[in-house]
Amino acid sequence: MRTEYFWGIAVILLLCPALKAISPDVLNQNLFPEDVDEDYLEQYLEEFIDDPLIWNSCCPDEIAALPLNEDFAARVISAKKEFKKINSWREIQSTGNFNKKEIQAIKTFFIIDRQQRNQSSGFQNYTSLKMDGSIDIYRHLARGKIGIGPRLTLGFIAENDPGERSLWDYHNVSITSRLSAGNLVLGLSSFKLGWGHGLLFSRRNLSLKGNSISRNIIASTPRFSAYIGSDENRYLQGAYVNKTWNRLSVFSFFSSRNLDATVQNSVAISFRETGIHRSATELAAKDILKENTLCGGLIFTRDWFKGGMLLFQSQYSFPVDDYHSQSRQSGGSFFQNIVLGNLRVSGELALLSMGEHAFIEGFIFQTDRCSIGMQYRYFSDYFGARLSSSMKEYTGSNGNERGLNIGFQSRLKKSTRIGGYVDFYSENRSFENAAPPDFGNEAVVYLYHRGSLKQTLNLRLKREVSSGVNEKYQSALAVRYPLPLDMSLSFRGVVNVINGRYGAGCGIAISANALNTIALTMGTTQFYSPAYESKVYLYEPGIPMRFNVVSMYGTGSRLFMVIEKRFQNNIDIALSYKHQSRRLVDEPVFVKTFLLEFQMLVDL
Amino acid sequence: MLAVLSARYLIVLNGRRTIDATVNDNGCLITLRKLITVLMFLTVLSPAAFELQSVNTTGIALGSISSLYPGALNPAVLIPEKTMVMRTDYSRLFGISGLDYYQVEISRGFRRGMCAGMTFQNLGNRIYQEKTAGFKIGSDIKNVFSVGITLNVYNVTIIGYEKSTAVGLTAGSLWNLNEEMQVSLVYHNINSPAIYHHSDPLPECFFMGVRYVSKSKVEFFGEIFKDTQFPFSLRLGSVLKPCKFLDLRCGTQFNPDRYSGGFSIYWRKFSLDFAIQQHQVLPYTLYYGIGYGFR
Repeated sequence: MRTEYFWGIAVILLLCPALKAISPDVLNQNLFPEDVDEDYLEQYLEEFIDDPLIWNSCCPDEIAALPLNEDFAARVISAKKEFKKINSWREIQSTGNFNKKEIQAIKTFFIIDRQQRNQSSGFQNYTSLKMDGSIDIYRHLARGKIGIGPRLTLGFIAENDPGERSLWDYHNVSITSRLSAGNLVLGLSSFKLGWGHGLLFSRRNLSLKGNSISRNIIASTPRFSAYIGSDENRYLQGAYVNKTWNRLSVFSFFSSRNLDATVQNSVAISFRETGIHRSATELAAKDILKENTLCGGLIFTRDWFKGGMLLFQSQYSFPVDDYHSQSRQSGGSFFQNIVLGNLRVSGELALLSMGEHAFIEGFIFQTDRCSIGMQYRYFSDYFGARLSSSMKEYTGSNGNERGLNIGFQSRLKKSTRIGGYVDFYSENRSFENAAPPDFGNEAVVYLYHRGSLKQTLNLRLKREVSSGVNEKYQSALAVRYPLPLDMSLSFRGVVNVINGRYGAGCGIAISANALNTIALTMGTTQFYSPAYESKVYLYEPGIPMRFNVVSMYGTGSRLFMVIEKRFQNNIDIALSYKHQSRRLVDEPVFVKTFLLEFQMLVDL
Repeated sequence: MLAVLSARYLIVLNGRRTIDATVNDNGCLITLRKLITVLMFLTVLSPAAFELQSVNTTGIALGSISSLYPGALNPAVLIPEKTMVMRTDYSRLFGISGLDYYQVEISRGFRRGMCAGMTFQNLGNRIYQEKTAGFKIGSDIKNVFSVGITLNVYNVTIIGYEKSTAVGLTAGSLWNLNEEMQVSLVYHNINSPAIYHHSDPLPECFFMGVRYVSKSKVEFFGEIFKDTQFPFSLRLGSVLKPCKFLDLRCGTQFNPDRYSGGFSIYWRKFSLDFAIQQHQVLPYTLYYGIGYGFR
């Protein structure tokens, strides 16, 4: 019966006209949801989309670092091993291992070769309207990348946050030139440096603990990338040069930026990272702190070893409270990735002026069926670098942490995976009088299953116990089931229990591609969270290329609808409407809000 | 010696939009008697100048849509190659003497989808004048979209008070989704210009419009307009083309709510345009336009 059903769907799909529209659940299907800030996740995703991997020259470790679920990432790595160099995506598609949506996801994170990077041009416009009391434009963003000839790429971004007086309050330009067959790269204006485990300069990964043990433990490949992201703070501005010989790569950069900061008594007491400039205080803090950074380093690569070191010095126009009230910060970092058969050892050591230091060291043992790994981290009490984004528990503070992360993952069957980790963490010391240092542990187990009808199941259980929070349990379930006529049904649910307080949310969505060139997704979410601490984060279908995690507190419901259409000039239009009716548990009246989003993506 | 009262009479034009006027004590108050009457309806106080970006008659008739029409704000709306367009528009805002607004534009389409032009706008009277000279250039790219930029030179002249000049940049784009639909994006004054020694910032606005040309004789327009200092405004309009020589237009804008309508008559290379715009409190405003080589 099942086989007949499958063939029935296959015949219907063949009879359907060519579906050009990108489904909004492309990312929902393949990206993992995490309970973190939505903007943060968007900025995280931008890094991958703005600077995609090159299929013909990337390595499996780089693929493993992509924000894809374990099963999908494993299949992509397997495809990479089979098709080391390709001329078109049809070669991968012809294997039959990936459906159209999965191919779309691959195209999002990869380009075929370096030449394609320089020739590709695109534009994105995102505009949203929000009703929260009154209706007004909530956010506007325009971003583009233009390939000028085979060697030059120009990127730009302009953004206006709600309530800001300047139309292009934040804008940026990046220029990248690749010479000598890509062995010499010059960059101007805004850029980022990904380095090691992100102790000094952010690596292309979340600073949170992810499900993937390999993503957590293996250092990312160091690289410069043009920056046209919407994070208004975490980037460099100036010029860089990167020259690569056979095994050796040497780089240097100079950056000069004006940062937002709160300055009191001629001391910068804090960096302001919201990027919002509305109030007099925010405007006064805008660009007040000058930062000049000079950096240089080298990377050595062999088949079994990759390591590098860098030295940097930053000069600030005011002494910075976080940096021992000094106006100068200097330091260095060394990272290594060693491959010894199935064993990989990876780590980074960073030293800063005034004796602050941090290190991360770990290993992972990987076979085709299972992986197991362990990582230790240590941050001295006042270790802090403005662009760092290493995996930490106490992300809101500088340094002052030590921890041990032990993880595993295993493939039970071809399409069933199980994994998890335990993370023990502790502060080095407490800065409050007579209070002991905070400590705790976090355990996560997840199960992923993909059925013969391409139905998927994700189950994630998390338990966290700490001296501050006591007990926190979180269980999340995501199920997706394909339906006839190229439709699919998905369900997501989350239950939180924190210190005995419950919070729950669930959402159901149906997606249809039956209409020619139009994709439609609609559904609803229900939530109940009487206490703020048990608020629910749930993933909702929405505008493509943007994370659509919503946080819900109180009780109520949400309705959402996403329409996408591809037009003839490779222009994808997406329109999303989200309505929320919410009240606090002890309040009688529901407050109604909505968000209307529009996005235009142009692929030239 | 003129004792400049430096009074800024804030006249509601589009409900919340305002312009400035300065009055001196040499008898000019008589000529501004109607302006003072208008003051009774003031709802908003603002120091801004150059709030009215365009007086293009065809756009006004469509509910003040400004980003999708040639001769309006968007420098990316191109005219055909090897074509010269000249047009002028005139209006006396609310029928008030002293609030005369006119605009002159000359544009030419060159080879390879390039277009360049100049505009000149003047608002006000002999006491208070806002002048804008604009130089624009646009280009078509791959027949998928066009981009353009306008350099505007703003000048304010107030009798008995020093002149002030500022330079603003407007960037625009127009995207051809298919043969029936276009999307426009315009960013007005992206360089945050300000007059009077940077004490008086000029409006910074964002426009996003959609145009749908149906296979029948009707076109539909929609536009979101956002001045960063005010809530957004939605504008809707449509054009009916009953015959070759006539266009009928109507439109509305929300927040503030205003209705408008008008028509264009085409004869050989000439076009004659007329528009009328309603205001909730103030009298109607009539707009007149004439163009050559437009069609």
